[in-house]
Amino acid sequence: MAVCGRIIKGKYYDSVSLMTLSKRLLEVDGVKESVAVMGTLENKAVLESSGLIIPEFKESIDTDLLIAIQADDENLARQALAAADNILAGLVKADNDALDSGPWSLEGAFTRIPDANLALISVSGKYAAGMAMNSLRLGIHVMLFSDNVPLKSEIELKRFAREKGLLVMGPDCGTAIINGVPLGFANVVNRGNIGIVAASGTGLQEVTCLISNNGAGISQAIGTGSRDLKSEVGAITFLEATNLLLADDATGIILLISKPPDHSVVEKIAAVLKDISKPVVTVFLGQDSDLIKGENVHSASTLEESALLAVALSLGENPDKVHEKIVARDRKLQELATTEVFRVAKGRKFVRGLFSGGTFCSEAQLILKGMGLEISSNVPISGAGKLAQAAKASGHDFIDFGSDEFTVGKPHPMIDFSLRNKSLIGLATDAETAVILLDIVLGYGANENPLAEIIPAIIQARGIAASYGKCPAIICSVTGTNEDPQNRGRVVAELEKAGVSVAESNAAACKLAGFIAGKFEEKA
Amino acid sequence: MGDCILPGLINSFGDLLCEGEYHLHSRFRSAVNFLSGDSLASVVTHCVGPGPMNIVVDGAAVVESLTICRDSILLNGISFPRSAEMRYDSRVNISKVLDTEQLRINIAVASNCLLESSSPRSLVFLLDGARDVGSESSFEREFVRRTRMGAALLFGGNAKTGTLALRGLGFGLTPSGDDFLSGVLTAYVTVARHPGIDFDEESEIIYRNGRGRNPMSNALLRCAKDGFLPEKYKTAVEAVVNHDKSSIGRPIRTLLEVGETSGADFAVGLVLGLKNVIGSKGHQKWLYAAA
Repeated sequence: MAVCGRIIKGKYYDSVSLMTLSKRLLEVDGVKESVAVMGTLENKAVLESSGLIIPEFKESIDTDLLIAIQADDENLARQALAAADNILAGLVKADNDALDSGPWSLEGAFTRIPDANLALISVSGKYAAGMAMNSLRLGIHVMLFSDNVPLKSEIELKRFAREKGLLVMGPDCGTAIINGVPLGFANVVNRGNIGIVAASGTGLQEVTCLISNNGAGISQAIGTGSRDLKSEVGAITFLEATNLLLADDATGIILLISKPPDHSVVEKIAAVLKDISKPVVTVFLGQDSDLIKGENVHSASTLEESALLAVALSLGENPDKVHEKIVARDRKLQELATTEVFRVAKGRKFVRGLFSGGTFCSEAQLILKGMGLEISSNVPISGAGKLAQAAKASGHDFIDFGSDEFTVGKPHPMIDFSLRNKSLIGLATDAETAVILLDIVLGYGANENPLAEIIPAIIQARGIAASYGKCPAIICSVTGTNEDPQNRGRVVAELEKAGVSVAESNAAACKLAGFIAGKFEEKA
Repeated sequence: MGDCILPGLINSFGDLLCEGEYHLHSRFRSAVNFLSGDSLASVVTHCVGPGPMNIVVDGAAVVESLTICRDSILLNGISFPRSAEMRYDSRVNISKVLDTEQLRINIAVASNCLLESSSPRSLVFLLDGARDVGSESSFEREFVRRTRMGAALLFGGNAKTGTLALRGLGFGLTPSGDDFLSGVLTAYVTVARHPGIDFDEESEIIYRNGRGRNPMSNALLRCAKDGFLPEKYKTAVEAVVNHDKSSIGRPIRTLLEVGETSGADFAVGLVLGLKNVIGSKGHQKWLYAAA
């Protein structure tokens, strides 16, 4: 084992950069340990105790950056040190690119792009509303990625926008596809004639991908923000966007996605849809499927069903066949469940869902509750139990790792898998876990290399579980397309190689999990 | 100014900014740090927010030069007025009456909030040993051991040795140990304004021995000693010391957004410092159990 190191003087990097550097160096072949810290006396003492000191470090001062690498031999350690230069250069370049790319104010942006007609705003919630209002006053639409915008400001912005004939997508709007351009967390999907309005980011991603993967395409995908269908806001964006799609020549079918709207809002939506001229598919997760009726309205109970209905309408197929298609697919899932059960040890009986997408967690609860399971979650749906402590498994538990308790001060779990991986490995030692249910979301903004994050955790979990007897089944849905930067096909193939059952949608994954749990209950 | 890119208007400036001509120290995406002698001034974006030595502007990253005069601030040679309404008041406001029962509840709430929401790489393991899940890295193992030892010394009657053990310890431009010490110092300074609580000596020891050659750490420590803090820190401290438990979660979570672990490390220091204060008054034994 050899240790190499270097001192960098007069350059300063923030803690995120230093931790990124340490992490990336560990990925270099042969590297056993890597550290990048400031050269304080105390850090040098720690380096010494850890066997990571080199004589040159002793001369360093508090403001020097020390990089220490321990590798199988000196040659590998030196190669890693050379890699450190490249990694740091890359981090600096990313910062410089950000600096160069500017602009740094709304006015500056307009100087550069005078014909811009949409502002994507992602600043602290405290300042977001003001910036959004300035954008609206300049006559441009707004996508408000920021959250923590007061409800009062949201109402004020949306009312103002409506008067001006503009759209406010958000606050807390993470996904949109406008004129083929993906904004925020979005996927590379086919263009087509299906226009979507959604009050759910991951829901929108799931549906756009399923549509694309089933041979149809998207005209526009408009996010509204999760509070838009509350009575206080009155679905202003939802209705404005629906009307825009109605007037849009490129849109032939309209798909509406939301959790159950407030009662007063349902009436407003119903009034718009009653005599609508274009076919509309609705999915109000957790609400009666015939919540809103109309001659041209087709209701779905899952994201998957809504996507398939829209595809059928888009391709000129009979939408009634969609139900039959899903029933036939579910029969296959039941058969698969029978085989999966034999791979799972006796005594294991619970489904544990570890989700990065909030809507997926809600949909999983709805589906599995509908299949008769008694469920709990840190973000429970109506009728589900509240997990007192999100990390402790006790029954059929569903955890949304995107909720505030896990994400404050940390990247979203669609980007950083570490917390969920920890739970995944922890569940492997739990003798009652029969099924671990996961979601992976691909596309722009999501983790660029999800396999490198999740596969080692799955292998470790399976290894640990095997030492206790048979493993729990691991079932995963992958939201994405083969055109996404991560390539869904490749991700699915690698997951399957690692022993994971990959379903074509979140709904299918949940049903498979439910069928397996049902088989265990039959046995009991 | 040639091709110089203009920063946006100044939105706020800190109340501890010193006059002088500053030179560039370090530049990040959301903050550009300048020094004039020992004085620090940071030009920052909204996401960093107001602070005693912060100047909040749109487009902080394009600022190349800074001069602070009595009535104006010059960014890239352009003069902006120092109008009173833009002055950020960084003094931590503490209620005159300290309700120790309420404080004890608030400390527990803040502690739980930190355990739930802090980065795994922060010093939150000092609040609950179970949060230290172990590491394959010998550096991290040794870091954890030394941090525990330093905290045990600091709160176990040996403030000087504890401070020296923690100063400069850990990752980041402001190492975790420095953020932690600033949190402890804030706890001592804020409650030490109340009759019957005397942590002046400990505060002085931490301040004197906690200073090193890192201007950012030194600035935070000095602010903490004098009871002045950046907005996200100040709001969290005031919530824990002044308000009821329902007002604590959000400001603590906002504080956790500072840096990778800086906000969390400061908050852990604050919580343990306050626990120590309560324990010292004989109301309750100090609950912390360091290795």
